[in-house]
This record gives sequence, C-alpha cells and structure tokens, in this order.
Amino acid sequence: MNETFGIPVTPDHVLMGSEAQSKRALLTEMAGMLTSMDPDLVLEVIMAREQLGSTGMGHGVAIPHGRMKALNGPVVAVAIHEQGLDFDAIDDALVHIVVMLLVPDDDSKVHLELLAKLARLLQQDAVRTQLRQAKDAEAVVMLLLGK
Amino acid sequence: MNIIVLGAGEVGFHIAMRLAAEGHDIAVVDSDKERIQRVSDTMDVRTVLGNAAHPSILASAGAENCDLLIAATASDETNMLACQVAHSLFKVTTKMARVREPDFANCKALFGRDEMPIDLIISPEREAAKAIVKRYQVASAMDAQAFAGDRVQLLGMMIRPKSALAGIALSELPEVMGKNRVYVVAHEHNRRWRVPKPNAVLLAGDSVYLAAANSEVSAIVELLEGGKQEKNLKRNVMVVGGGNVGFAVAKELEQTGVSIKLIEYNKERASWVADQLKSTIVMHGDALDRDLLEEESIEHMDDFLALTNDDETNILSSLIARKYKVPHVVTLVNRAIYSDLVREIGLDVIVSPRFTTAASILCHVRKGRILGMSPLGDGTLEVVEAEALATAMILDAPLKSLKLPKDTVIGAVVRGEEVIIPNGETVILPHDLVVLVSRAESIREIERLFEVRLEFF
Repeated sequence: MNETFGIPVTPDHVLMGSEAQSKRALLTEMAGMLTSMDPDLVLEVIMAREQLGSTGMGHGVAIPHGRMKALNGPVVAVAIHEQGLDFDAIDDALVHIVVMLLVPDDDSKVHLELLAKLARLLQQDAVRTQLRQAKDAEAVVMLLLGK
Repeated sequence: MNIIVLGAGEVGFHIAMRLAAEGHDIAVVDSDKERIQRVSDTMDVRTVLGNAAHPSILASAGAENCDLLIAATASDETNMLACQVAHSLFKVTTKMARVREPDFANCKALFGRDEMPIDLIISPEREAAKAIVKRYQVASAMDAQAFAGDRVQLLGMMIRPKSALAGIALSELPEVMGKNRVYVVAHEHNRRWRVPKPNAVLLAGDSVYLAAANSEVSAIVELLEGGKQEKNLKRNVMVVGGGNVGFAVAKELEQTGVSIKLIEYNKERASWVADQLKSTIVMHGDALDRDLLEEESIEHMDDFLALTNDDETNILSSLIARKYKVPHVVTLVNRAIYSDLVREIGLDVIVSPRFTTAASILCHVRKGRILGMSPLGDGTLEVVEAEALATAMILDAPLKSLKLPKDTVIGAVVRGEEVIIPNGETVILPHDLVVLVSRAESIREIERLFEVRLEFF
C-alpha cells in the first residue's frame, strides 16, 4: 500500500477481541480506553449522536462520532468485533469495524474532512478485510495510518 | 434498542407492549409474580422477577447492554434508586423514572448529570394536570394540544350544524377562514378517524383537528363557533378529587382567577388541600351525593372536572354533571378499557394519564430529534413534533414533491417565531419545527424523514 491515510490513532486506542454483546456495551468499552477524557461524557456524546441517526454506514462498518469541549485535536478509537453487533446500520448488517471519532467543538471543516476520509477508506473491501484480519493493535494502526 | 422497563403496572405494561410491538428488545422487571406472568403471557419480552433497584436484578435484566431504562414501578424511591444503580454500575445512557410525589418531582436541583442521574421525570399525574388545564383554556373545543413551545395548537372540535365548517370541502377552507389560516389534520366521520384528503367534505356531527397558530386560536374559535368566547374570569368550576391531579389542576386554575369548588372524599386530604390552596372552596364529601352537588349549585357551574383516582367515580359524577347541563365536563380515565366506553355514553372530554405518559416516553426512543408525540382521536392517529436537522431527508424539497408515508400531513411548520401553515410549495429548512399527523403504524417511516445522515456532526 502506498497511500498515506493519516488517520491519527495509537495502539492503546485499539480494542481487539471485545466480547461486548451490544452496541452500547461496545461503545462503553471503547470510551473507557480514552483515559484522558471522562468516559461517561464520551459515551453520552456518542449515544446522543447515534440517537439522531445511526452511524452504521453499511458493509459492517460504523463511525460513531461527536464533538467534545476542551479537546485540542481529533481523537480516534477503533474496535474490531469478531462476531459482529447490531448497530441499527443502514443495510441492517452486523457491524465488525467501529471507528470512534471525537473532535473539538469548533467550526472547523477539518473534522468533516476527516470523517469523509474515514468513510472513503472503509468503503474499500480490501481495507475492511485487512482490518478484520489484523492480528494485533499495531497492525490496525499501521493500516489506518496507511504506511 | 435494548430497553428495560421496571414495573409492570398500567403504565409499564402499556409501554412495554408498545415498544415490543415496534421490534425493540425489551426486558420487564417486577416484584409481583402474577404481574410478571401476565406480561410473559401477552408479549414477546424477557421477564425478570425481583426488586427493580437491586444491582443483581438489573444485571440479569441485561443492564450492561441497555440503551434505555424506564423505571415505572409504583414506588418513587425504587424508581429513583434504580436509575442511580443503572447509571453508576451499568452506564446506562438514558434513564427515565416515574416520580409521583410532587415534593421530589418539582425539585429540579435534585436531578442532573452530577446529581441524581435521571434524564426524564415521568409524572403521569402532572402530565394529566397539564393536559386538563390546556383543554380547559379552550372550553368549546373537545381537545386542545400545544406544540412547538406553545406556538402551535391542535384544536379538536365537533362540527355543530351552525358551524362555518359544516358542509364544506377542505379545498374551500381558505375562503371560509379568510386571513386565519388553519390546516385540518384529522377528520372523524362515523366514528372513524382519518387523515383527510383535500376533497374530503366536513359534515355536521363530524369531528376534526385543526392546526393553527396559537396567536390566532381565539379568532378562529370565534369564527367557527360564532360570538365571543366567554372569558375565564367569571367562570365557576367544580373539581372532584383532591389527589395529585385534582390538586395540581386547582392550583393552576386559581391563578387564572376562576372560582373553584373542590370536593374531596378523604377528610384529612381535604383539610390538607384546603390549607394549600388560596381561593378554592374545599369540601369534604362524596361527589356522587346529589344533595351535596345541588347544595353547591352544580347547575350554575360552567365546568365540571372529575379527577379522582377512581375511574368509576369520575365517570358517574360526570354523567350527573351532564344531567345538570354543565356545559363543559372533563373526565379523567386511567384504565384503557374505559376510554372507548366513555365516548359511547356521551362524555367527550377524557384525559388518560397513561396515554399522555406513554407518548412522552416514546419520543425518546425515536431516531432524529422527535420532540413530542401524542395520540389523536381514537389513538389510530398520532401527532409528531420534530426538529428538521441538517442532512435530514425532509429538507429542501417542496412538500408536494416529498415522499411522505401514506396518510400523513404536515399541519404546521415553525421557523423561529413564525408559524407557517404549509401548502404544497412550502420548503422545510434546517432547524424548522414540524408538526405532522400520521397513522400510528407509520411512525417508523416518519422517523426516517428526520434521521440525520452519517456526515452530521
């Protein structure tokens, strides 16, 4: 792969082998990984956005996202869920790849571009397959950075 | 959605049934074996027997995966505690609790993210009191519901033979109404409620719901009913029942300066109510005692509000009031089975706290920003109030080219302070509030119109 996706994610924000049984339980677990933030608040923001319309974009991918005050730059967390979860996605398919995106609460268009970039990336079959087969967190990070 | 309903009483049972029918994953918890049995006999839900606030019980009801907790047991304390447990131990995001005791419910500082974590306090009695006061204000209407922060009203009216609406087709409505704009969103003929088509003809004896700007309501009522509406000021009101509902209604009505007589059966409660209220005359007695009613000059009453906890007393005393030709009678009915019956025997204004409560809970299960929902007519139709957010499907196209579900009409659009009674050319913009009426079974499709797309931040 020679394209650089530049999705800013670190291995400690990657959740592998989660046994969560529901969308909400998985999102709770993911919020718990973001140690620098209030996990309850993250969950609240993410669930409030989900309430307006599911971010399950089809093909087993969801990109839950939201704005958080007092954030300096975008924060990304990733979960790969083997069994798949009901995310109320637009194609009703189970979701295996969840990329959570939190951005500062400002008017910047950069956030929307990052979201669009993520969506474009995850629309590719090859990327999805590689993500689901990734053997550890480092491999997931490398894939999303596009190195 | 994964939803836990605590308590399988009248409110909990009804909500669980409704949510299960819509395909949600429901668990019902109750400490009473018979009630739990009744739930598992009637609907496809998981049931758990036990104390609803206990961590282990909540865990076995699936609190870990739960999106929404509805605490509707008979005990305020259990409900509030269950919300706290669900929050602290299971991180349940949305929590609602039925809280009856006004001492708790009115204490706003008690609830919040960092206080007692309850997102919505459900008080069927308070909801009913609100609905009753609303209806009282438009006395000649059989129903009045406010939407969009009181800017829009839906007026339910029976068309009298001399009414300006009798015998006209909906397409002729603008001529009849002149500068007062209204939209007929529901039409009852031969006891069947429908969302009317433009060629529908309104006949005397039919009932309709009209959407109108709040500021034009009195002009509209005047136009349709003929003559000035009496002002509230000199009205004589008799309230039966000094329980939570009756007390709240009397307290609210006192502020409008009407003269109120309240009859309460329980002696201690009667003297408590008398202490709390200012101008209301409180009597201890039985509302079914005709001598008492006559002594209190029931025949001179303008309004009779039967608001006890007991449906039978409410229905019977309302019939007595009818006998004495009280022009405006409101009957509080709790049990579903009576709601239909009551209309049959000629009482037309009925408030069911169960209905109003279920509606306000159901809003929170909807996708998109659905701000309010409530049943209309016989309950087959539903009013929905929603905010049109950026990227939603309902935006940016004239209504005539919008694919709305069958039997759906948009009755009013509120843009800032402006109320727009729409036509086919109206276009909905982001942040408009939309008041629409549809069939209850089309609600999922309505939700989709307001759902935001992925790119919404």
